[in-house]
Amino acid sequence: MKAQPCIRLCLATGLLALLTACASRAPVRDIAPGSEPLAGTDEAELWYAMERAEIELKRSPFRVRDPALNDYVRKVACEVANDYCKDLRVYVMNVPQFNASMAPNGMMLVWTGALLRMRDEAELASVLGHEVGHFTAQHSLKQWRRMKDISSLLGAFQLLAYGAGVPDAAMLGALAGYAAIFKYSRDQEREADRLGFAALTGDGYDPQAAVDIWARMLREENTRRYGRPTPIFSSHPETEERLADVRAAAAAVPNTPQERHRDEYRAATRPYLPGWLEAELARRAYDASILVIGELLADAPPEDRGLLTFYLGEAHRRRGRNDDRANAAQLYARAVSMPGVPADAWREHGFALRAAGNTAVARDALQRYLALAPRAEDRAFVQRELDKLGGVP
Amino acid sequence: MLTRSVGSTPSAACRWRLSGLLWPAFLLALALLLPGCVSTQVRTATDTGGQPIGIDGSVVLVEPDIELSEVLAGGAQEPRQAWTEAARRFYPQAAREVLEAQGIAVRPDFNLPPDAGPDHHLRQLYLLNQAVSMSILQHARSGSRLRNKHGRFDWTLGPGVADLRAATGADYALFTYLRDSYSSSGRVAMRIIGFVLLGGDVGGGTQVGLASLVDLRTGQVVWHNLLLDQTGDVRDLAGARETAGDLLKGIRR
Amino acid sequence: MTLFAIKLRPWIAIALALSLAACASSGGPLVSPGPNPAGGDLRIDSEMEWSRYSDRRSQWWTMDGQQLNLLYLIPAVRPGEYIFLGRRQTTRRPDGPFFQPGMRADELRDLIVDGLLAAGLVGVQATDLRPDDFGGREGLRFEMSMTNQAGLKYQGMAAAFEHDDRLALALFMAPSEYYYPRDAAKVARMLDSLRLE
Repeated sequence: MKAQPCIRLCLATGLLALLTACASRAPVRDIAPGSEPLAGTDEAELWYAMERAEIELKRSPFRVRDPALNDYVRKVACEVANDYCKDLRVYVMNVPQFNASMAPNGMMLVWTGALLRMRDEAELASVLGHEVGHFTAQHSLKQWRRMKDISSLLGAFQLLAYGAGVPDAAMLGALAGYAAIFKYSRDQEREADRLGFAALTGDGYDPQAAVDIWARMLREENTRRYGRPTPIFSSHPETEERLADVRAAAAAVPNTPQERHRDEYRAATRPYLPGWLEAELARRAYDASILVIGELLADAPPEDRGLLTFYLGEAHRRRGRNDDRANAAQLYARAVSMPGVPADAWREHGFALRAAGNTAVARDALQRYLALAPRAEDRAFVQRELDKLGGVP
Repeated sequence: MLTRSVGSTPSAACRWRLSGLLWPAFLLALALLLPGCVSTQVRTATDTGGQPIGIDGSVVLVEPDIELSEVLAGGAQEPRQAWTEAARRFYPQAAREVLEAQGIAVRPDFNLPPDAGPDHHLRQLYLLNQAVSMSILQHARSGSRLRNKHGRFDWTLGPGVADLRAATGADYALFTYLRDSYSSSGRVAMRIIGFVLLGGDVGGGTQVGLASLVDLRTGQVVWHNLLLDQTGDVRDLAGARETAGDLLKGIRR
Repeated sequence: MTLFAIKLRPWIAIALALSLAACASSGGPLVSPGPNPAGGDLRIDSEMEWSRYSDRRSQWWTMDGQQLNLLYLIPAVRPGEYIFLGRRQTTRRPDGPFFQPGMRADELRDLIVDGLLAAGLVGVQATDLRPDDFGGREGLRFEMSMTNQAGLKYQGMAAAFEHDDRLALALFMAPSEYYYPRDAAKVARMLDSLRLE
């Protein structure tokens, strides 16, 4: 009879709701610095899960072990965490995407893609302060409980569908899990912003930094034409509305502090810039890379413009659509006249000149490349091209 | 993608078991005998006469990888620290008993130094064992054997295991992987409801055990087993003894 | 969402799936030493026995299992195709390591490296890029080092050459511990013999 399945289903759902309603309703404790969860609570179990993940993380091949960089990021994290500084353990991971996250047991992750995209210490502090906000307000625990409840009511075995889907999953693998990608609610994001702002300005940083970094991330997200949001927005779902909220919050801060500490940030991160740019290009998401590198170039001090002009040229050349090649050629020509440009720029300049039919100048450029990089990996190939141009080795 | 998968068909030896589960009183009317299935795949290296190689020497249990979790109603698994810590005490003890009952000497358990970085040789050996284990599983079934092995059970970690021999003082290393999950009461309810409504079992939790025994004088894998058990329970010593008995089946002097 | 729901230990989850799954493919046929077809018109001389698995467009050979040694052979990557076959580059989805005819040797090397990174290998580094001749066709060779997600170190070697706007590709990878050193010299000679017929 038709009524039967409905009754059975209703009964079943009711039973289920009754049985699963006893998912832990222990109050969320006020998390004091240096404290730990009570044994036997679901919070303790969540900590335990994070501890297991942290053991793996420590020996992950993704981990950046350089002490200087780790010390700097930890220093900034401590600034915004204030009394919670001693609860933190900071890990820098070699992943060319924007992400920073904090697990409920004090484990903080910062991906090198984030360090590439930020400009100064204030921006770093705003991102980390926001994460510490999630930590002190126990958002992870609340989300975990909510997920469990929802999943049990839905009988949904695919929690991945509810949480943040991670594209490039193969590339990130288990690391996606370690990044504790929780999909916080809008209210939780606002709360984290508020707490983050308080920490930011309390330490004398310019709150406009938060607006700058989020606006920059929104521009990058808008270059993606397809698919679900990238990990950038898995943990920080960004909408126009939220950016407006962040702007208003920054504007509402009285006696706006001004500190950016741009020089300190650059000093700590500059040694890694070429490697991070290479890794960014290796993603082969050229629309995004052109935006990211273009903006870096616009904000760059004179000594970095050669490097960034070259890499912007690379991004265009590798994308290779429409007038990309022409753009790349112009960028190479500009780059080689700037200080600090890598030897590779001469090679690309040479090949671009050859493509334009300027054989003699092309020869000179390729010879310049070989002179600057005598042990280049592609030496034999470039020499062959040079020979074809009729050059004397 | 670069990898391809090789399928295989398990020929499980199921045995029916009565499972004791907790459920609220008003569901007793729906008490069901939930079938349990224990399946093992034991592989042993053989000598020139085709006989399984016996163990001649001492064995060390190398850093077992054990995690226990609870399966919640929706299928999510939540790790359980107390259970895991219990299993990490009971299982090695039970394994030791099983081996010693065979007359095999067991060295003190060995754990990798906690600060061992990714390049540490012992850690690389540990990871290589994982890769070898997985390869054994991939090609264990008769339909998926590697032709170039010509029917031989021939796997090795290579002579680099000498470092592990030096570190442990043992002649054989026993690597263990154990995962188990146990149903929460919500999950038990789901199972029953699933049975009633859908006529199928949504599953409670399955114990997965993987163990390999490596000769540290040569690197050869002399014994290997995969255990799948729907009703194993290593949260206490009795359960751990049963699991150890199943997982370490076939290790002989 | 639980950390553990995402963070399946990949290797054991796959192993479990493999053990439980119905037989998807039979054991691969034996490769004997000597000249061997490698898909399409591609040929390679083998120095030892392997087991060969193949589909329409590629082959992969192994002796101990793909995590312990893997020789991946693709006779023809087509223009606009993902370097390890399958996806094609589209205007909607332009991102990724896609092959185009006329690419330079260093670009082909980067394509292979980025393809391996996208497949989940970590820290892939290429060394000793050099020209090579494959039965009269110009191509390239290089070596690689990398780790898998768990941290197991691997080494590899690559050989590639272009023909009729398509790319022939051979890749070998094995763990640095025991497996790569055992077979590297032999596989290097095998790659020397790669050719079209």
